[in-house]
Amino acid sequence: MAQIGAETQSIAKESALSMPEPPAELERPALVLNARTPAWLSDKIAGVAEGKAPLWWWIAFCISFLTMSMGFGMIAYLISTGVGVWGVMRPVMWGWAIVNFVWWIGIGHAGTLISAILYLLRQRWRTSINRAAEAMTVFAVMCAGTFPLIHLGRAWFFYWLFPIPNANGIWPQFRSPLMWDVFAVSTYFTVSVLFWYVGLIPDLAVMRDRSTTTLRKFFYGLFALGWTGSNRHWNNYERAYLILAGLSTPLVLSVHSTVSLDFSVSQLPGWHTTIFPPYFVAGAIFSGFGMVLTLLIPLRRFLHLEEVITMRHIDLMCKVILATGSMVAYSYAMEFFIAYYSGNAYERFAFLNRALGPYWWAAWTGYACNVFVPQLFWFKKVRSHLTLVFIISILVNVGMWMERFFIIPVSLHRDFLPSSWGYYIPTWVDVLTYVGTFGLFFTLFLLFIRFLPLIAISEVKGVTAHADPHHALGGAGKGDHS
Amino acid sequence: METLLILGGNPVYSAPADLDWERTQRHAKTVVRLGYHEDETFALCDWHLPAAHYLESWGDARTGDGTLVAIQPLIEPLFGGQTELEVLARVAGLSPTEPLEIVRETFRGLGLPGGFEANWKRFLHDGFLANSAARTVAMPLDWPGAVKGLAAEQVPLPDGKQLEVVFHRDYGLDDGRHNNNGWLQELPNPITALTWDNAVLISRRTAAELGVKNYDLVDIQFGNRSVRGPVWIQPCLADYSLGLALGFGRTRTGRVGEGAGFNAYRLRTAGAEQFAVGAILRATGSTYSLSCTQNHWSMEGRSIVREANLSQYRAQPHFAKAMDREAPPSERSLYPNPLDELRKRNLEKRGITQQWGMSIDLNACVGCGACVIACQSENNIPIVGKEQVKNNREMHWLRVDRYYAAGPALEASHNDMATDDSQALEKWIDDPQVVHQVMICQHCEAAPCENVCPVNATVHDDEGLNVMVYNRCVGTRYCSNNCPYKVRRFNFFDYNKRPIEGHRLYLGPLAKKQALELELLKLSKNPDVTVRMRGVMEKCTYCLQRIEQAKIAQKIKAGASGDVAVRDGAIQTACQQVCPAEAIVFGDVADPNSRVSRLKAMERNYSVLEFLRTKPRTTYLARVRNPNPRMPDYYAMPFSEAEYWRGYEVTEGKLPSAGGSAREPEETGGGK
Repeated sequence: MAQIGAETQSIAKESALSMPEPPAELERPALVLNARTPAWLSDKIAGVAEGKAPLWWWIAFCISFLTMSMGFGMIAYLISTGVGVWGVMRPVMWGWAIVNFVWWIGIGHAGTLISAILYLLRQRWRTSINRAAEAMTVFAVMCAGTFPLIHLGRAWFFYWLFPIPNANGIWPQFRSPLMWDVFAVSTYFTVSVLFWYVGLIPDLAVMRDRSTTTLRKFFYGLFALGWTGSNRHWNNYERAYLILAGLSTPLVLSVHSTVSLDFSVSQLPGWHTTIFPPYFVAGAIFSGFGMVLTLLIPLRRFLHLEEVITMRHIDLMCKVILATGSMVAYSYAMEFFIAYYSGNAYERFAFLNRALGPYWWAAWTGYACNVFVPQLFWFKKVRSHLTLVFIISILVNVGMWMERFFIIPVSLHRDFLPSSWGYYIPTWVDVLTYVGTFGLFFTLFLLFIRFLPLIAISEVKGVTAHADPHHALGGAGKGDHS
Repeated sequence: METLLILGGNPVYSAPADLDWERTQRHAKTVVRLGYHEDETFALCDWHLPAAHYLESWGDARTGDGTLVAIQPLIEPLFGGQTELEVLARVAGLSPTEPLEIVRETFRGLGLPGGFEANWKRFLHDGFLANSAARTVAMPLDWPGAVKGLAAEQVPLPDGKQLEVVFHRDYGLDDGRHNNNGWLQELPNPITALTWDNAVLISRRTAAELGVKNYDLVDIQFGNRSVRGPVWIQPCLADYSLGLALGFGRTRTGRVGEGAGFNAYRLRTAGAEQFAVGAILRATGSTYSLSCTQNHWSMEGRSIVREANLSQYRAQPHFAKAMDREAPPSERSLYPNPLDELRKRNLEKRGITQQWGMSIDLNACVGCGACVIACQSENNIPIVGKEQVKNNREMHWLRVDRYYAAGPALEASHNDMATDDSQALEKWIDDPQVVHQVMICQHCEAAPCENVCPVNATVHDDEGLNVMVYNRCVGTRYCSNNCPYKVRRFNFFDYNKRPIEGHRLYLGPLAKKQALELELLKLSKNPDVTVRMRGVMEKCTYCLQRIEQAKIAQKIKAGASGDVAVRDGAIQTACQQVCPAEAIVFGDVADPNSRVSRLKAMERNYSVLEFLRTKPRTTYLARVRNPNPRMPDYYAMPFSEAEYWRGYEVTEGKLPSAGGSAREPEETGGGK
């Protein structure tokens, strides 16, 4: 060891004398193309939320709004009539609602991962995508949160799940994973919103300063909290952001771990496995990045943001999908191995039944989309082919939905006593409620891109050549900082 | 004929088809009818007298052996109905016409020694008259004559072109008299598990030969008469034989029975009331939905119902324990059992600690389902209608599971991965064995349902009951998902308040309620039991209200003596009370001398899914078969047992005593 250390030191000494220029192929591609100036970035990004909304936005918004209204109609029907309007039955007491809940929560993982973990890891490429991904997270968690609320038999008593002091002296049951869920999801939502908002403050000030109407000036000004861009503001802001990133990081891992405990704490073969927390977190990041790609690929085209959300960003996200997809594949394989290795006949049956039983199509759609399809990202040709990436990003989320489906209802439908086995079929209300949450999600997302800068302007400026003191275009002029 | 008097019955519906009763009865100038309901016969009578229900009536009867029994009313007639005795007395111009007086007169006519009033009171108290059975006489049987007579009977053999039709009274609806009774409509048939419908029962081979499958609507033509019904492939049925249940397809019944099944009486002629050969089956091309409460037939080699042959039982009395699965190694919990704490506290506070438990003897159980109805009536369990049953949403707290076990020869034809619909096409169902198992809340000591409820709506009480707090339940349904026995029932709709027929449950608050009937229906509810609303989970309580009544009664009796322990046998659960085979026994498991404790100490005792360590308070006594070795269907071990031991080294009829998943009974020794 010592010898190697000494060798390295001597090499370092030598190279300090004459530093050769790195070869061109090792040069990192710029994160903002064409050496765009900070002013161009402000105009470009803030411009999306200014002026008249384009026609495509209005069409998309109308469709989303109608879909959302239909979803609320479904919820009204559900609550006035009973959970029986869904397809849930014995033994499958949790159906689409919980599948959708876990699916949406999973999607809501990418945002905080990108903004918190990648921030701590100094991944500068995150700046072009973190704002939209965080917005996606907040909206996805809102969609997710709807389901546990409305799936209750008596939804009007949902507040009994919160530890509210009451005259009866009855507390929630803290041993129940559903209880942990309440805390995990609400904490995650609160911190995600805070994080998103804190990151927005400098950009809100930009929007305020660019406003031409008093109304806009007032509201942007209100939420910009008097930001002036002073050194002290920046100093406080950076610290707050770092603290929030530190707070959010464990949450990224804990939320889906807690959600997975809903299943692994139970006795049911197919649910009762210790691998679930990491398996669910990997799957969540996998699906979250899938959704970020699904959203950003069309957006960068429609809004002409190809210079800010570059092919390099897409390439990196594809690599994250490949990595997490492989983790998911490993988890699938391990589940089957453990089921076999346990020697428990009930466990073995549950997994055989998952792959070969009446719901074989769900399992194989899931395996195809989550295991085989992402492997295509090993090829650079695929990663740089936008249409293919877009299709795969959608397939990832189809696959992840199927994964939740084959874990939740499929494990339930054939459990311990064959006398109570059944075949679960969703109803039209199940389907339309799920479609309705897409309406909610896209309504909120479209409003977001209309009113807020969808890329963190201040942060993305920080990764340009203009912000790099060592660069020829850098603030210090000649790059002479030694 | 001047006047036709019809007492009870419903001949327009149930008389042999060739009598054409509808027209025949018009030969009388006036038709007077005494009946319960406004039914098919009611519509064609000139006078209809409302009949009193037998539970509202005085009467007398003789049992099969001739013993005289008393029929005593339980309730003042609700609608001023008349009994048959009363109507006959009036028609015959007798006096008195009061049914009670008539019965007393008859009793007086027996001329018993002693005072009449004393005898009468004794008769009512006992319910029967002692020593009134008929004398038995020895009758010589002419064996050769009987054999010759039977041989002379020419019965054509059925085949694909002339099928045999077997008429049987429906298990729940009888001859159709209970057609408008929701409890009986929804009672699963003990073998087919069908509800709300009858079906054309047919064997797998015959169905394949005729090219029909489950749910196909078929016409059965017999002479110039035909009926239309759905096909149900029934395991174990003889080939070329169709089973048709009577009692369905009523044209004029209440709103419960309307539209349930088809009327098999239309094929049934005088002289061929039980069976007839010569029917033709033709598929119509359309299908019909049937609601069955048990979709999966095979036990999949799991040790749920445990059975052995008598010889095996003698060789190894602990055969049921040998079928225990390997449980997790830990015997002691990290934390003290809160139940032990409760018991200790209870012991200190009240000086007693009674712990409730149940034993169900599978050897005695015949799967009749009386317990299902008793439980439904005791615990205000709603019916949910055909559509909901089809969706596995029936509310029965107590269900009778029925499994078919495949014989070793045909076992290979079973595909456990296939959909439930394809079971009916598998060969093994031609010759299975059938087992039944009563399944209710097991009142686990370590109940998996309890720790997953986020609002503490299902908890343990200090007498070991797993209790459900309805008004705390928010309906997450997690408890049901985590219940390995799937005995929890969820109110998906307001079954008690909203009309269930048609699609009207799905109309929610927009569906019109039947206000008038609901007033009457209130009488069917047990005032000691809560009626549950929608969105709430429910399940067997071990008839908690009866336990409480017994405890209160004992406390009153004890007075200052402080002897508040409820006597063994003082509490009978509803299912236990009606069980004709006395298969269900309930009592205090903390008292080693109680009947239930002694049953649980038997070597046949086992818990279902014991390896999960849920420690159920409800345990089962394994079943012992006693097949005759000289019969062609003799097997060394019951089919279900052979299914379980498949893959283990098992010599003829002898079980492994250790190794594999089997362990010495001493090791298991039940829950701690």
